[in-house]
Amino acid sequence: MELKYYRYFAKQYPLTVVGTLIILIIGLVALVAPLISPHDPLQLHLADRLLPPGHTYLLGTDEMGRDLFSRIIYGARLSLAAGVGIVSIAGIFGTVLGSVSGFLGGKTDLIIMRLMDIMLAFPSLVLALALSAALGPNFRNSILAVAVVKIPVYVRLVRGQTLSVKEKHFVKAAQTFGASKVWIISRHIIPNCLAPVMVQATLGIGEAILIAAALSFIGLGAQPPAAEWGAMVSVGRTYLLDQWWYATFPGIAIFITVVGFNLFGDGVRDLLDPRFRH
Amino acid sequence: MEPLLKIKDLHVDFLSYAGAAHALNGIDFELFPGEFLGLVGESGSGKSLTANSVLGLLPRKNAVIAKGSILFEGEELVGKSEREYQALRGKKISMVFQEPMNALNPAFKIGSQVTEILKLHQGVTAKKARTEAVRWLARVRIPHPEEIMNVYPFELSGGMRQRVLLAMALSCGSKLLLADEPTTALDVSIQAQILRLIRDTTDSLGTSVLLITHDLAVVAQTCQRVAVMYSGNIVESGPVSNVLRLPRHPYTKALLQALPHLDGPIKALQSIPGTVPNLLTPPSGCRFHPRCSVAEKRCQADRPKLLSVAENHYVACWRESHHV
Amino acid sequence: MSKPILSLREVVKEFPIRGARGNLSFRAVNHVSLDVFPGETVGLVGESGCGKSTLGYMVMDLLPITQGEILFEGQKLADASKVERRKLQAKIQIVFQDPQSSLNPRFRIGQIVEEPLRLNGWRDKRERKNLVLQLLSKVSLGEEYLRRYPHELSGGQRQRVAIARALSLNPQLIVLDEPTSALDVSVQAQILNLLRELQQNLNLSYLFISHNLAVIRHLSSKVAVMYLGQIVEISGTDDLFAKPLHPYTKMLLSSVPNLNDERPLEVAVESEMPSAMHPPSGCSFHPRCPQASELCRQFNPELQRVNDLHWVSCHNFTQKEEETKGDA
Repeated sequence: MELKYYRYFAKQYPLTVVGTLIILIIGLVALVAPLISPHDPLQLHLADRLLPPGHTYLLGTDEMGRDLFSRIIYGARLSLAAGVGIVSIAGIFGTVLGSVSGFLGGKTDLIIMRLMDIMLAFPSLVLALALSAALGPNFRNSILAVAVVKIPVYVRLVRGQTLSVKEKHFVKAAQTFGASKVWIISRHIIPNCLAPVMVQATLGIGEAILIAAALSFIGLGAQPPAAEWGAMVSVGRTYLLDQWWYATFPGIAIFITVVGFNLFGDGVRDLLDPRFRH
Repeated sequence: MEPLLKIKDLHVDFLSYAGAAHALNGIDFELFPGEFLGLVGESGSGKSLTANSVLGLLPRKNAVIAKGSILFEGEELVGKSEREYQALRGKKISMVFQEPMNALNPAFKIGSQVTEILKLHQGVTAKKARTEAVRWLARVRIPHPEEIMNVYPFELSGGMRQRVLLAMALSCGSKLLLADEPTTALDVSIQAQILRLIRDTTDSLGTSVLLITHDLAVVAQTCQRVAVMYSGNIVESGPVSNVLRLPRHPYTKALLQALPHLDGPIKALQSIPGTVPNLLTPPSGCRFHPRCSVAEKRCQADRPKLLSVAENHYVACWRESHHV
Repeated sequence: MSKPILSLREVVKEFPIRGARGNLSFRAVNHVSLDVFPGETVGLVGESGCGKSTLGYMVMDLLPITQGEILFEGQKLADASKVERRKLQAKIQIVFQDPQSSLNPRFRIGQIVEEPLRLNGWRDKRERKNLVLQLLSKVSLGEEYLRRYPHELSGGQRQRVAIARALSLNPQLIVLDEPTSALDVSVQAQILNLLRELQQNLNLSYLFISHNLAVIRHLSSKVAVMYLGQIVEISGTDDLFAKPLHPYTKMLLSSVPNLNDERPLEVAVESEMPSAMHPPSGCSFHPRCPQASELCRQFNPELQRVNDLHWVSCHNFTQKEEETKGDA
């Protein structure tokens, strides 16, 4: 039954299949990076600086003579980690805050939601930039910064969902058995809010990767010599006119990854939509 | 007399990832001019689907009329284009629904929605349409129709909304009114008013009504004839007094015994064992046989046809109509 | 007569409304008194918005009461300590209208029925499982349902699960809030029969809330008719259906389509229930009442005794009584 459903779905939504394939391939590449990369991504070949794509260096080399192809392969690890890390942290905190806020209502709700409003009042990139700079520029802090900035999205989503779930009779029934608030939120509210969170999260991975790359591009994220796509584009930018490949290939990698996650996210949204099942 | 609506061997399939569901499995019935016919059945029996097929409102993406014909005034409706259907809808066939709120646009005043319909179908001037609209609102016994013209749907009660929809449905001289559970969402006292209103207004206009309902008691007090549906088939049809007093099909009998009554001694209710079959894997032969207390071997093997057992009284059951 | 298991004394529920025209409140339940005795079923009938579900929620302590008191086995719920309250509460359970909404779609049937046990001190897993199986068998569901999810069940089966869950803490009173309204007729009969059987076997009391008079008649021994937050008539079931005294009860009874009647439905007065936010003066039914007098427009009638079980709140009733007394 389930298998049949997915097969039917795949036929109806070919683009989702493309997105899924892209993600699977990138995931696989990240996983087996040491096995498939022809060179060490950090190894300097000072004699082979800024070489164009060729036999030895498939996509050319950078200003230190490092192999771009290997660096892009290793970069998949960082980008995936950034994307998944950001939405996981934001999703978990957002879900807890949102469900507590929606279920308890009153002052708690007021305080949490006003805090979120304040955060939403800033452009997310600017806020992430400020946070990242304050925490100190490194890869882990940049992920934390972006995650914090993304929390309000999930809080709002889950709070709205909670408001409707808490009116369901199974919540009322649990109250009549003497269930505590923690019990109701963790067993009844949150599990029934997860579907939209999953959709939001998959749709958000692409954007999260972009922002993380942007922070690295500015110099607030992954630090040299880490093979991070955003950072590579950033340095490659100065060589764009003469060594076009340097900035172009990491850029294409970012582009494909983000498109892959967006296509996948659209599919997940439709797949989890109960209306589709009928 | 020529029937106004004649449905013959209508099959509707729903396509889904899990396969084709035979939601309507060969429906036959006729509706005569000025007649009030009840189409009664439990959820999933296909009663609403029948009405939607007549109006061409089946979801085009996954529902198909696999077989059969729908004749309206002698004209074949199956295979008509969306454009041709639009010419029919509201003009010759109209429909009222269970949820009157969904059928009215919340952003427009009642007056503009009623006059819109009149302008569209009758091509009258705005001024004429307005006086007509007020006349129609009065006809469905809405108090102070002039004032109601200027309110929004949310300001009206469910009963009043249903009256407005009825006015809209009848105002263009429809010959056939499809009423899909028009009173299910309403309170009993309002239900009585609306049922009475539908009956009175359609009587005076000579409109035929197909009333779709799950409530046999509603059928008893409003319809002349009734068709009982079960799992995509009509299992019994005939004059209300025959079908409800002297039911012949085991399903109709069981349904009547399952109902608590308002008068008479209180008896234990006879429930029907089991549940409504899954339309993706319907039982072979007569679809009621797994729940039927008198099922025989042939009920499992072959599907019984709807055959006459008395004047105008038809039953699809091997034990009743197929004396071989 | 034995002591009532549940007593409502002059219960009032007001909901505040914050509006543009200042803070108002509307009375959903207006001085309602009602007794439920052990083993009996009290039917609470009325149209939507009459306050019958609000009353059920207050009995369940899902809504606080504004005024009056609710006594369970003679004990005031509001006065009980937290521990006592919880003990008392366990003896009252509720079955909701829509079993789709009353079962958590992410729980398996076993977990759903088990939940009240887990929350009320059954620590031993095996013991809980045995109890759950017993409960499921009480509602004629087999062991194979334990691991299924609600969406795999039909409406009737889901309602059986909800009933099994309500039985889990050995309640004495079950509030049935339109338990069959979302079900098909054939399934409704199954559930009504089950409820009746359970009542006999377990000596349960029911507070049966419904808009369906035929269903109420089938199950109840006593019926209270509510209109705009008030009980307008209360009586033994047979008496009420045979000799309704309040004009609203009469109107309700004549509005319900009757299977055994083929005459077109009669509509005496075409009118709708007024909004509870702007209740009419005097007797709340007077705008729809064919016999309304000046007295009805000004004063709200009190419930008057007809006989021990039958009470009605209507000015016209007294007048008639006095007339007949005068004649005699």
